[in-house]
Amino acid sequence: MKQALLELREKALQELKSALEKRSAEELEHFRVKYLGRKGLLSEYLSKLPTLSPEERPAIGKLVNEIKGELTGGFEEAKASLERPKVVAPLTDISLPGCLPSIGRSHPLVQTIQDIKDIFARMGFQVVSGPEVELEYFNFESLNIPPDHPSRDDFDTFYISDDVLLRSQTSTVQIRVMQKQKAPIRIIAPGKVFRPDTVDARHSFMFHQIEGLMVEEGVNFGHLKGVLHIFAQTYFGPDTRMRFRPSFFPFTEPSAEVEISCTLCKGHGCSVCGGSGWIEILGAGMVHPNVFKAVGYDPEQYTGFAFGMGVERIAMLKYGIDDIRLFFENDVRFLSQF
Amino acid sequence: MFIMKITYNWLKEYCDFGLTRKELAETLTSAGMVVAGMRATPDGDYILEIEITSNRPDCLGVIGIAREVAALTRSPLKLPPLEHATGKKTVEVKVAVEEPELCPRYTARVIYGVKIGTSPLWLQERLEAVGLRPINNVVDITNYVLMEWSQPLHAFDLDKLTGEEIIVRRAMAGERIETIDGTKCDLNPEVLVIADAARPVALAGVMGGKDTEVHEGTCNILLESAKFKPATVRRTAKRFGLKTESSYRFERGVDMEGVELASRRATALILQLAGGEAAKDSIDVGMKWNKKVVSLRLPRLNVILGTSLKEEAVGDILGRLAFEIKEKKEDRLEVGVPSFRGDVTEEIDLVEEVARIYGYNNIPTNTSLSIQVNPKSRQELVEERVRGLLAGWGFFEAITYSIVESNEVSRIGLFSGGEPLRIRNPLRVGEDCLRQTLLGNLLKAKRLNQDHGTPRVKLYELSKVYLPVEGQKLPIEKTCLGLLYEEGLSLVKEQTAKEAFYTVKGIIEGLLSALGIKGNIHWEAVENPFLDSAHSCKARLEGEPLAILGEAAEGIVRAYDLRSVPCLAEIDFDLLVEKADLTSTFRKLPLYPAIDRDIAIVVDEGVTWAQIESCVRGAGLEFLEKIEFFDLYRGKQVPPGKKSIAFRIHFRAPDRTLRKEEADSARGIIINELTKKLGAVVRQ
Repeated sequence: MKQALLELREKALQELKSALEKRSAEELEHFRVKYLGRKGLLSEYLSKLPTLSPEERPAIGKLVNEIKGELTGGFEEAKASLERPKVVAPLTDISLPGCLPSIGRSHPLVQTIQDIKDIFARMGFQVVSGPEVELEYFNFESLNIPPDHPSRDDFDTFYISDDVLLRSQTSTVQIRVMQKQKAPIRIIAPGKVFRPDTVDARHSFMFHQIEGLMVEEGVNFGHLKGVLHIFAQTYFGPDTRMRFRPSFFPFTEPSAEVEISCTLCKGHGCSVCGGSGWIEILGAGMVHPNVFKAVGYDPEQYTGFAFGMGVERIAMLKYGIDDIRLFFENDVRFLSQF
Repeated sequence: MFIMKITYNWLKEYCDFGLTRKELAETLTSAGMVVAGMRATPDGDYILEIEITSNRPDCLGVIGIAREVAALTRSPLKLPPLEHATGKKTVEVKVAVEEPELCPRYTARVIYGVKIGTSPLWLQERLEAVGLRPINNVVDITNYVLMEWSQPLHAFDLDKLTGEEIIVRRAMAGERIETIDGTKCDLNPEVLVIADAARPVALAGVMGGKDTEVHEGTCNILLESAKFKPATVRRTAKRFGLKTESSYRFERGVDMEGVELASRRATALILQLAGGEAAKDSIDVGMKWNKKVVSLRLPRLNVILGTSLKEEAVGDILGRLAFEIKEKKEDRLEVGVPSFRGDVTEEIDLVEEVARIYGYNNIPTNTSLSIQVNPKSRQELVEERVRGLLAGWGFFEAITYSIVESNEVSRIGLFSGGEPLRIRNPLRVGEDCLRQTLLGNLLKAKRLNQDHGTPRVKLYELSKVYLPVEGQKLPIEKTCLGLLYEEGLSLVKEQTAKEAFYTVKGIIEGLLSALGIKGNIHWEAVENPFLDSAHSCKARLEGEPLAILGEAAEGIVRAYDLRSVPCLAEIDFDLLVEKADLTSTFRKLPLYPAIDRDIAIVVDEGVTWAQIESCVRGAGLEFLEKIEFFDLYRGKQVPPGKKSIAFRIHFRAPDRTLRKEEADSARGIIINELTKKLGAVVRQ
């Protein structure tokens, strides 16, 4: 009898599986009536129990109940499954975009300053800074620009009082450093400068400059060219060409305006370089003996060079930005591009 | 930088160079006279726009540029003819220079019987090409010679001068003059004037007076050509706001010899184009002057330039530029400086001249530098670390203007510096203060982003504020870190101020921890116009003000027209740099595991986490390692006026694994303490 029961269980489970696979409610109902119904096969076995010997009865009774429990459970599950709409196994859609905690950025001008600092740091230049609100002396007199000197016209300046102003150039830091420190000196000084220029796409009353200064016995104009070449080729790419032409700054002599081959057209001429193939990127020169005298250096012993560049201009060239005002609006659609 | 306009053909009159206009532009540019523009004129000539640096007033005339071209191309210079006929009459006017310091040379010529009329077409066209308006023949000639020699001239109507006298003197208080352009100037002794016997008739070096100007009926003229002290002219021009072609040149210095040459040239042209008869004599009052001689040491030149130029090459270049080698002593040249090169006064000026003509691009580039290494400064290291963290936490860095509007709120951030520094000459009225906080500008940036379709932003600025100090000329420039924080819209359905507040507090704590700052932080209430008093606080580090933070105050949100309420913070960055400890030291990892126990208690609203924490620490438990807050709850199951706080305690022994019973008993002790001291009820 036990054997017959086990066979019945096997058969019942197969029928249940088949009903489920066909998703046939009819077959399922048929299964219920056949096995679990009041007149079903299992009930039939139960009704036969009294005919068994007292030794056999408990084991068979237990088995019948177990099978009944199992089939009832299977039936309930199958019934629920048929009532549910058919579910497709969940798949990972690998084409969905990834999730990332939102990240921010440094300001493009800060990144530009950082990149430039890194290049000069590798050549031994130390990063220093100086005050933005400055004594007139440091912005002018000490830089060989005496009062009433016409070259002051080249440096329109915001004044706080008669002798206090917002520095219009980072060259002020040269003087402050040389007053405190003995040669040899290699510094670069990034920072804000201010000039009362009406704001437009090319002008801003506040912008950033990086000043460089190297003073050492025997440093000459050739070294100035060398250091700036290394800078330009590192920052703008190894194919960058550079040229120097005479200019005038009161605090350097000889003074130079430095141009690089256009970063966009590689020197062929385009709208960025005005068709010339060349772009002005910085001013430079040998430190004027009067500047050395102002800080108590002996101009016969030491020579040196200085250079200054506008950070906004360089960033605009590097990234192709066409309006300087974007740097100070802080629109995250802009800031997130760098 | 001054843009000088000349024409190609005009230049060609004085120097027969063999260059196309494109080659000419390149040659001039490479010598420091940048040709910034070139365009054709209707009569087949070309206008060149040349940038002249402020040290080269001699090049503010066609002849000056011709001299440069002659030197650069080794072509001969051809100066215009200066000779003119003279008549029988003499100059009747007496000239007295009372201030020879301010007027080193004054010349006057008199031309009788001129006929004022329009200039010939060629003259009018040239003037128009270089941007000057033709007026009448005599005035046009003075302007023409100005553009030729860079020497300003002025013609007076001789008959309008009172008393046949010219006096170069300081103006007297109370005197007035109306200049040709109609400006009425109140004079004082700081102003140098040209006067006749009765009154000032010209502002020296700036502009002539209306009363004595040449007009249609003028018959006799007095032609002034002079040199005035640059600073005097500069101050006069500035005082009356009269920047003229004249003043610009006098400010930069005119050629002592050119004074006379230009006068003769103009006289010759006047006789030719306006007729009349020149007086047979002329007046020339001036100081004696000698040609400057400057020494040039060849070794010095080569040390500065990194070249090995020989004496011949140097002498050749200087000679082409009209310098005169007076003497050669071993390695030294004694160089005579032509009078038109007022900018050359010392050796370095000659070095530059040699380098300029030799060509900067011919100087060898030298990349052999000695090794010098400098460590990064503490400031840089801290800045880099903080920028990295803030970017990782989703903040974009802003850079905003240091000059702000002068409203109350722009002054009060972490630091209240009282009256801000103000700019005397602001670009815009009212926008004249140096900021004392970064927060106002961050709110403005938030507003701009809101208007541009980005409703939620996280911004920071790491920059200076300017705090005036009583009795000191320069302010303290303090670097501050400003934060503006909002949760992104997609991540949190409904942002509550409380969460943002705790996030910003967490950011500050995170920065301190990342910078290894271990000092004692004290958080306290704060009153600040930017912040909502209920959700804000101030932090002190070892007693020093470190930061303020909080939700933007309602009034601020309204004032900046914001559609969401950001959380703000301002942190003293200099203090962070000072206290940072960027070294890391290894601690051995614990050998035995920790046991955690969670506790949830209900306490009165007034009980703070700080009290709970100190109560737990005060229980004197040996193996207490860490207390971690993890939940604050109000609502169902917690009576009104109370709150539920949950936290986790870590116990650990250094030398063995703790038993469960030890942790349970420690938890019991803590609960007892909390119940006793803070009236806490444990939630099960």
